[in-house]
Amino acid sequence: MKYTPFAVFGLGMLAVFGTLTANYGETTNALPSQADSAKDRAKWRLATISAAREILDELNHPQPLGSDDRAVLVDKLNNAMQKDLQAHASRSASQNLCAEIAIKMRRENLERRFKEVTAHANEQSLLSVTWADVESHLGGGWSNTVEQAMQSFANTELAPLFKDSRARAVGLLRQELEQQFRFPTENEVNGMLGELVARHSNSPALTANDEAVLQQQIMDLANPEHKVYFEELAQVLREPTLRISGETRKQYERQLSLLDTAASQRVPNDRRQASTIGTALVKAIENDLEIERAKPPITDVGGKIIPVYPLLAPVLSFVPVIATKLESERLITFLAQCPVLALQSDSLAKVIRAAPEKHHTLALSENEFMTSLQPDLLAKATTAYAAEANPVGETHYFETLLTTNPALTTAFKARVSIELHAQLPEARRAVSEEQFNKAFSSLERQVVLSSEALALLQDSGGAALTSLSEAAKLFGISVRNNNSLLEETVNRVLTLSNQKAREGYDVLTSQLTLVRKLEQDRLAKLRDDVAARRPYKAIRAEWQAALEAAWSADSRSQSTPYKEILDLTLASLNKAVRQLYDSVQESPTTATAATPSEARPTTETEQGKVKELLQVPAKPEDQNPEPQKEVKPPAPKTSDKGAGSEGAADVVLSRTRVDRRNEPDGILLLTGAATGPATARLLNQAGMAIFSISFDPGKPQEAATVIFEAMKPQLKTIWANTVLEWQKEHSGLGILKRRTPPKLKLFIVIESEDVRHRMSLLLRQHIDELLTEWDKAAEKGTPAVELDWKVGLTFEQITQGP
Amino acid sequence: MSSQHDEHKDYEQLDEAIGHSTHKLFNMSPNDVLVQIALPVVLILAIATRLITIGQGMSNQSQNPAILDLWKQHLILRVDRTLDHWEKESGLAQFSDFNRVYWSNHWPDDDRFRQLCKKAAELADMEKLKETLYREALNGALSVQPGDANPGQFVSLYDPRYAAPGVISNSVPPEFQIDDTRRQFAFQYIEERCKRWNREIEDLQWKLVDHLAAELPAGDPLTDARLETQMKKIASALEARGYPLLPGLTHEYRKAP
Repeated sequence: MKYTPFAVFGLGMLAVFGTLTANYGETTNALPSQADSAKDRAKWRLATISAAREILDELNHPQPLGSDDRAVLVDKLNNAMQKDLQAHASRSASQNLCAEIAIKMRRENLERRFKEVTAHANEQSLLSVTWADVESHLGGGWSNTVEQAMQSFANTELAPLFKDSRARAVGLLRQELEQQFRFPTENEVNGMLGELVARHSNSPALTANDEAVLQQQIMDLANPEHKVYFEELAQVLREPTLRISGETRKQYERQLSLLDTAASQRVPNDRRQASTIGTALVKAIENDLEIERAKPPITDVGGKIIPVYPLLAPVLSFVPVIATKLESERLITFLAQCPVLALQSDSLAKVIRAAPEKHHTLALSENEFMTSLQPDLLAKATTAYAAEANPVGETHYFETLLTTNPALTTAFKARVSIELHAQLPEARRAVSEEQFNKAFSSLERQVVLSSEALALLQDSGGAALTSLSEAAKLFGISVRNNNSLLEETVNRVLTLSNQKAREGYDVLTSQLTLVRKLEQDRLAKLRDDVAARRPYKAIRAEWQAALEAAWSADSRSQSTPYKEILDLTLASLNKAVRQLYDSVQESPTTATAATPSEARPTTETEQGKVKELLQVPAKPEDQNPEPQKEVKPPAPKTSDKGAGSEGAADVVLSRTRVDRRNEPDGILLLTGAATGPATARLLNQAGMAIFSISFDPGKPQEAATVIFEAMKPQLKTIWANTVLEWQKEHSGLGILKRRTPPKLKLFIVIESEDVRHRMSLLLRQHIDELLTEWDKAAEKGTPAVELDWKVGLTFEQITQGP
Repeated sequence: MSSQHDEHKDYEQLDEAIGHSTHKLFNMSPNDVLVQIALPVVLILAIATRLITIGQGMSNQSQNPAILDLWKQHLILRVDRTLDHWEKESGLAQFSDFNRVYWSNHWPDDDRFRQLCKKAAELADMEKLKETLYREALNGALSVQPGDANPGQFVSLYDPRYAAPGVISNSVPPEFQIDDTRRQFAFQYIEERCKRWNREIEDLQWKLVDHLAAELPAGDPLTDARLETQMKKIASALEARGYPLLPGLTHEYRKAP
């Protein structure tokens, strides 16, 4: 590196200048620096502390906002609200946000003010006054003072500031929104209402929900971007929305009302088809709307002209519905009144006579007529209806309508049915009268039944006749074809037949009663006659004469064709006299013990009882119904046991002895007279009565309890024997046997008609519970004892005969 | 011509020989020139300049005072005595350092300083003080003090405007009579001293105010947002405690900013 001599010289000169300068600074009497001046320091101090005081004064005694400051703040808050509508939508949220903004601004103003004060202090001092210097004089609680000032500002200034700002923002937005609200155009209304009405095609009326949707759509017109507005504007928005949507709805409903009015009043009566009706409806509504549109325009509260909409598409779309409805109503009215559907009974009777088997019952007849008459009547009705239409309609159109429209079909059938109900009974009555007169008129005369017929009646116990064949058999009527007879004819024949049969059966019963009375009245005389060895025939003749005399007296008081003693009665008299005669003759000393009235029914009723017991066990009670063969009951016993019920028990026992497995452990006989208390007797396997107890059959609950309590000790014994027997069977080698559970078999023979089935059920329930209790207490290994419960009824045999 | 040619040739040979010689006569680098020549030269120049400056200063200080006129010597003698007396009476000399002021809590509690401030109040009307001091210097007892070694050294000075009653000008030689020019000199002399006092006392009082203000909280009643008011409050508070402030302080904020 080479330096030129000039450079060397330059450096040397600089060094000299520097030295000179340094010497000058030392040698001159310089003033003390400003920072060192006591006056300056003091003035700096005074300016600093004065500034601090000024700040404190402003914080502690804030001046109310001036009008200019207030205007600026209101502007700023208003701008903030306008800028972010969504955040300021809620008034409370907006107030909070505005408070933040205002306080922030206030803080900024304060800071600016602090700077101004500091700057002013700085001007008052030669030494620099900074904010840090001022702040150092404000003390430690300075920040709290600022916050208190902010709070004071918030408390005193914020509310009116926010109120003014909010009012201005709301007002501006309100003006803007009110300008945006408008009545929808015709197309818009059609779109809105069309969408709503399409949701419920059944009714064009707008629901509350539709109203809300419509209001929203009106709102969307004014606010297509779905801006969020201040909550105060909700009412502002709601008012024009309600006004416009209300007017829109009002016009829509007005048009619907016009449609209804036109449908009820302004469609000529000769318009029969839906298309012509619809055209008339549209024309009528459009005429009305044209009149309204010709009137001077009306403005609403908002100053907007209320448009008068032409016929709206949703209303127009409903016209066919109304037209179709009106078409149906008119046709239904016609069907209900048209004379071509009127029916005549004569013509109906003629049809019935032609094929009576199709009209056996009234229901069949109605169905037949409904089916056969419908095509013809349908054609007549539609032809007549089409002829009255303007323009003249096609018959086929209305036929299709009648057959495809359920309401019309129903109306048509209803009219035909009304006609049938009015005319068919008369037609059937006429035909029935003809049939009766032709084949059964003899029944209307006096009829005396034959002995065979009376025997049949006796056998059936005087049961009512239920079929024409029974009547024919009883009365010897010839019936060739039952199916051709009407139901009314058959009923009339059966009614008359039963009347005649009852008459004959009553005569037979009365005469047999007279026989029994004779037996009682003439027993003493019979003993005397036997003792006198009077011939049997004479005795019998005497008895018959007495019977004839008695019947003669009775028959005179009745208008009966049966004036003579019936053969059946005479046979019964012979039998009774013979038996009495023989018994008196064989053991005149014991004859009094066994009266004929006691002996007689034994043979017959007992057979019936046993037969019933073996054949018809009570179904609800029989858990194991086994098909039992009808067995011939053993010979009736009239010996030592005496009572018929015990005889029935004997039969049961003898029957079960044959089948060892069905041998009952006990038989409970429930007997009793209709007038007195009933009696329950428990028989063992040998047929011996174990106990006997009386009970009131009219009180099944108490009766079941009484019988159960009486049976309990015996049941305990039976149960113990059953269990013991089962254990013996299954002990030793018996252990290999199949372990069928032990059974306790009880047969219930109910002879009394007064004993109710419920009592049997209650009794079984008691016994079941008792067995369950004993089974629980039994030793382990023994299965539960099953109750085999069978019930037989015998009283029916007594009352109805075999 | 040949000789000249030969001579030239000889020179060329000599140059060539020098140029190819291993011992060059000037072989220093520029750096060597800077370090070995330029810097020492600069240092020498600087030292010389400094020495010249110091010499000039010493010569100025060692100049002998001009030989003053006699009236002036006597006048200065009398005035100095008066001024020294005032200064001693005020106690200003004790407060060459503000830290000598006694304090009680935040307030000064010093009688000496209180005396100084009260005495300094005379400085508020400096014209009057000047006249007073001048009059005292001419006529006062301080002119001749007991114990003076040579009382006769004080000759009588006569200022017709400030002459004491009964003093006759004829008794004073003309060279000891004070005319306007001489009086102006005296007043100027006094004023310079008074101004120095005023400056020093103001400085002390500013320090006092600074010290006091440094201890004041911003919310103290003495503080105020307006500086003028605040100064008044402080001055009043100090005056109430016996420390009146000089107008230079109290009127500080009355000035136009």
